Amino acid sequence: MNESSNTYELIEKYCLDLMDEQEQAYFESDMQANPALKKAVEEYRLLLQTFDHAQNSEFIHRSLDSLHLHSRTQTEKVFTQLRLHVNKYWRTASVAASVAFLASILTFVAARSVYKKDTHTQYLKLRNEINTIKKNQADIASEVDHVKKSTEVPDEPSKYSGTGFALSQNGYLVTNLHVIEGYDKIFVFTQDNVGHQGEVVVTDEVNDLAILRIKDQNFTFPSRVPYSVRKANLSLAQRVYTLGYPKSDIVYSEGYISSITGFEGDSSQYQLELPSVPGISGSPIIDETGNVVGIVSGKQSLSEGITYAVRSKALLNLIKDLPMDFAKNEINNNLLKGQTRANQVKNIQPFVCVVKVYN
Amino acid sequence: MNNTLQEVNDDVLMSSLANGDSKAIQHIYKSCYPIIEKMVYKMNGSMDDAYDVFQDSMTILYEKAKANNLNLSCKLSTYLTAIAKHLWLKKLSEKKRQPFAVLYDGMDDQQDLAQEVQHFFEFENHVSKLSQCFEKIGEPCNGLLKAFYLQNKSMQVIAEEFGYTNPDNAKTQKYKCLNRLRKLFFSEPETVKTNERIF
Repeated sequence: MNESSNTYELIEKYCLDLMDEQEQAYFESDMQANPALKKAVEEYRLLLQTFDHAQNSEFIHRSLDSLHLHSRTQTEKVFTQLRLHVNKYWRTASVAASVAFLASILTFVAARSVYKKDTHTQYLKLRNEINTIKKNQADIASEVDHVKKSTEVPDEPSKYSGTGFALSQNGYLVTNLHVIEGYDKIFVFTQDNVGHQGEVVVTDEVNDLAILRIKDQNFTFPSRVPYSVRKANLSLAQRVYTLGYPKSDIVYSEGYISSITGFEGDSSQYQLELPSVPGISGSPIIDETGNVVGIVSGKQSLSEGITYAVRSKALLNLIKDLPMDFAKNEINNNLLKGQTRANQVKNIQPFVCVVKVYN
Repeated sequence: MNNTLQEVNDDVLMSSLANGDSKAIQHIYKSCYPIIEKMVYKMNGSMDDAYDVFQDSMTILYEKAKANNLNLSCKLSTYLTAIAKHLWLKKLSEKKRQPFAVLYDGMDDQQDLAQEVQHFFEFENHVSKLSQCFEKIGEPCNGLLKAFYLQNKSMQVIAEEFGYTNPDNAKTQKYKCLNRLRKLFFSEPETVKTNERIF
């Protein structure tokens, strides 16, 4: 193909559709005969179209750019962006809003419940005071009763008091030796608040134990002793409870074995995490199935919750020395197994007594 | 803004657009751009995306108007919006490397629109390829070809600007340059699309 500028002029003329009919027919027949020319024409056409497109695109871009800039004032833009941002972030925003709403509701509820609690405790306190007054009146009345029922009980107030619990139906019971220390007369008050004079049968100074017997030959506890005294040693963290007389009414409290040795590593004792108050010395330590596993003997002076208990092993050793009228097998049988805690306590209650010492 | 927009016959609008009438462009911009901006934005686009899409749609419409081969079966604004939608979906699918799928939206000429968009992207690629060729071709061909084919300067003016003794000499030179450009253009492998413009 002759690549003269003349040919290119023809090609361009053809592509731009500037030829007259005769010229066009002549050129087309040339193209039929010459594939190279045909290819050149096609390539030229594409190039020219591309130029055209570039020009059109540039024209539109230029016209629109000036329009776009002029018509959109700054405020409009800001407004649109704001609107679009709202569209984009409405999910996040709604989650945040609901969290805030929930938080305010929770705060309201919490504030209300705290406020309620406050008034509640105040109310309890008040009632407690009224109860104390009532209690004092009842105490006075019952002391009058004692004097009537048991002429043997001295009129003057007792020097010490502690707790003891029954070992047999016929009137044997155990308490701490320190409770009866320096005694002149011992009186044992049973659940019905009747005092009975007691005598000391055997004591164990090392383990701070004393076994008493009600002097009255006719006295019996309401039934045989329901709990057993367990020989096996307890393990750490085992739950226990106790019943005692720190005041004129019986008090229940519970805790757990916090150490298997007692005060300053005393291996004859347990250390318990159990609230202790004066007057519960001699109380039975009872495990969950109703076995007596120890006797409360003291507490650590510095802390509130720590209580020491003598192991039941010492008590069992002491029992061996008891006279023949003591039924030893009575405390081998546990009648409380499988009962609920409340029932156990209810059944044990008659066998826990107040021990008062006069001198 | 709407008060100033009077109902204009679409055919009149198209013929004014073909002549490059800035008032026609302004009218279309004001009546269609908000719709298209909103649409692109709803389809995960930014404001810049919306403007790009609108410019490209307008380019297609302008070329259609110039070629005078658009038989509108619906309102011009509807047609432009449909084009913009196709364009945006195509761009999205390229971004995400997902297959291009257009939901049927009630327009009868979906196939035509897809072809228009396809055609448009082909030429966009050609243009970016052309700009790369212009970089390689060197002077005076670069300036000469741009002056004639893109800036529509006459051979007379070009001859004076580039220091040719007469327009015929310039013309001969132009054909030589065009031939070099053609060889460069068709020997180039398919290039990566760039956003560079010739101007």
